[in-house]
Amino acid sequence: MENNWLQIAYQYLVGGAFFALTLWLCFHQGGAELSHPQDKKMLKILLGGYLGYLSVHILWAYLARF
Amino acid sequence: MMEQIVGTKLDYAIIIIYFIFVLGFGSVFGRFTRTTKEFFFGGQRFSWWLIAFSCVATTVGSYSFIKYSAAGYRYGMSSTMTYLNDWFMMPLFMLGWLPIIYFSRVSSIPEFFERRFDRQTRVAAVVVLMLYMIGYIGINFYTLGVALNALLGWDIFKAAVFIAVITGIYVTFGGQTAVIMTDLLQGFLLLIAGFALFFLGVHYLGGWGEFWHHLPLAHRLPFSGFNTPEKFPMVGIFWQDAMANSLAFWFMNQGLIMRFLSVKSVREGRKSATFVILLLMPLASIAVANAGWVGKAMVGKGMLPANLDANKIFVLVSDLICRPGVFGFIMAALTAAMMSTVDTLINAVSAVAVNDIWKPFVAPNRSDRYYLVIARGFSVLAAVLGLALVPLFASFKSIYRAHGAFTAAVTPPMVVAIVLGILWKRYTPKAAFATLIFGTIGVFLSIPGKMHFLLKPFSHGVGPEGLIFMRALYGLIVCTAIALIVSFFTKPRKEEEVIGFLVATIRKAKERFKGGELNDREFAPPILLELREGSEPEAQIHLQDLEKIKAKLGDLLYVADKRRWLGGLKSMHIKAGTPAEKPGIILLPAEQIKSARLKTGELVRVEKIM
Repeated sequence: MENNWLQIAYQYLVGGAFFALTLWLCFHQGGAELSHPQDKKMLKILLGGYLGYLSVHILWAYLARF
Repeated sequence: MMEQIVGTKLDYAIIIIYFIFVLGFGSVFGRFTRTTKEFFFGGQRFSWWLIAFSCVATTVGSYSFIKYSAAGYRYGMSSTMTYLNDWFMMPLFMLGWLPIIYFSRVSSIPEFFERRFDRQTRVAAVVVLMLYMIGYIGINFYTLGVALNALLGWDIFKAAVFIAVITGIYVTFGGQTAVIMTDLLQGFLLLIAGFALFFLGVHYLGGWGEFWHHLPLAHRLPFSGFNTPEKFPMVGIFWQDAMANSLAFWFMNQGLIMRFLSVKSVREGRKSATFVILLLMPLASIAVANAGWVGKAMVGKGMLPANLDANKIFVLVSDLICRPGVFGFIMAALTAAMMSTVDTLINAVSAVAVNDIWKPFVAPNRSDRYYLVIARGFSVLAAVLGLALVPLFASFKSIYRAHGAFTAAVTPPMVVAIVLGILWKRYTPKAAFATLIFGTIGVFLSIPGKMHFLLKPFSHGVGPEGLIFMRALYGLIVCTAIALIVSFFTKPRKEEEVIGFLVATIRKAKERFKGGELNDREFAPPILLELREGSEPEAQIHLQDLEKIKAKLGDLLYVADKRRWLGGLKSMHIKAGTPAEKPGIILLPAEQIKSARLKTGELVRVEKIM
């Protein structure tokens, strides 16, 4: 095993699909509303967390070679 | 059997002092528990940071240090996979499940099943959940006995009894408040001890460069191979842990649900979950596994022989770099991890026993004081039953494995029923019942080796030994299929009957919780007001002060002791009623002041909750 790119792609695409679908459903069904400041902030935090984890895993997989 | 390390007198002294401290610390909070609401949910008053640390202590279980150090030694830093893949569940947890259970005032998972579906589904959920939780208490007692036997040479059963007595005492007297407070302490301790071990290990190796470069490349990567090794394939861990177990942890774990119901507001609960997953879980993943990484680097550097048993690595590394004194500290952290998982389970079993068995079926309509006595009785019973299972688990490894298989079998049906239950209004009570019963049977069918052909379509190329990881994917698909098919042929409940239990109806649940129209203005920081005794049943605050916290008359307020570090221990919720005549003060009814343990004449923090 020389790298982790397939694993990262699989986890963040399949897990990401569940993440995106449930996020969309919560807003679409009215459980959360973009017009509500708290919900808007939550959306930013949720997307930031997803991208944060993705970035850390990419960086980690890259730096592991050195 | 593992090699036994018997520490120095200093190590023993540290461990004993720690036990006494936990027992005293936990029992002190008995005086904060006077109602069942306080016993199970700590009175819904705590700050996010208290819940966050206690959640970590609950997550890091009885065998985590040994199990993950072994995984770290065998597979390297990919041992962190199981701790770093929960974020995918967060939209549904934070925006769906958490508001639903909080605003609908659900006290247990089975209660959700009755209110969303019907009584029959609730009973099925009670049976499944109780078997799962009591078995899990037994497993935790057994594994901690094994760990203490290996590390300190204590007899397995005696060690389990010792821990059961200590945990049982503080949970029985202090309830959820004691669990949260001791878990806060234990969460801190296990993180500090884990990092102390890592720091000492890296130092022992000669610094970070020596540690890093003596690890093979595969051990430095964050993931194992996609479908290899068979016992730790990334795709298997993803479906088992990231999807099934994470769903189970955040959606069907009665202990965790109770923890999140004890926060002062949904907003605090969301903060808590964010902090747990973005910061504390990554730290915990390092704390529990680093002994394995350090051990592997030591082997690479020739400091340890290459033919080590991975299950011994935590013991070996701790022994090599920690003694004397620090070893006792590490052992205290290990027992902290054990106790903090068991205490949550004991409190959760008691909650289900009282709310889902005793109250509805045995003795309805009794006083809260009566149910509190029963709750304490069930806490003791849960500890005793868990303890009674220890010899059984120790004698028959097949029973131990059977519980593992049982857990894997019940997780997909329960989580599918919950997720579809909150997202899909067309999901019917009969379909939910069928999902629980036939889904569990369907997953059980795949357990015997000769039935593994059922799992092969989901294998992703994982070899025969790794197929068990793919049972989670198989279970989720089978249960979803049952749910869809049965729903298609049966009748759903009317939407007005399930208001508050669907994501689509959260706003209405909020209005019911508040008892009036919502105030959607942004939250403002809390203000300090002088507390005085009032004659009205609601809080009296001057309109000018209400405006400062962007609240209006009828809004739900949170009033707490001004000392933030108390985490809400002395606090209360109350509605804003008739305005006070002058600014700078808040008038509360005398009884409420007393039950919140606040003092008149002192400053209190006031903020809008909804």
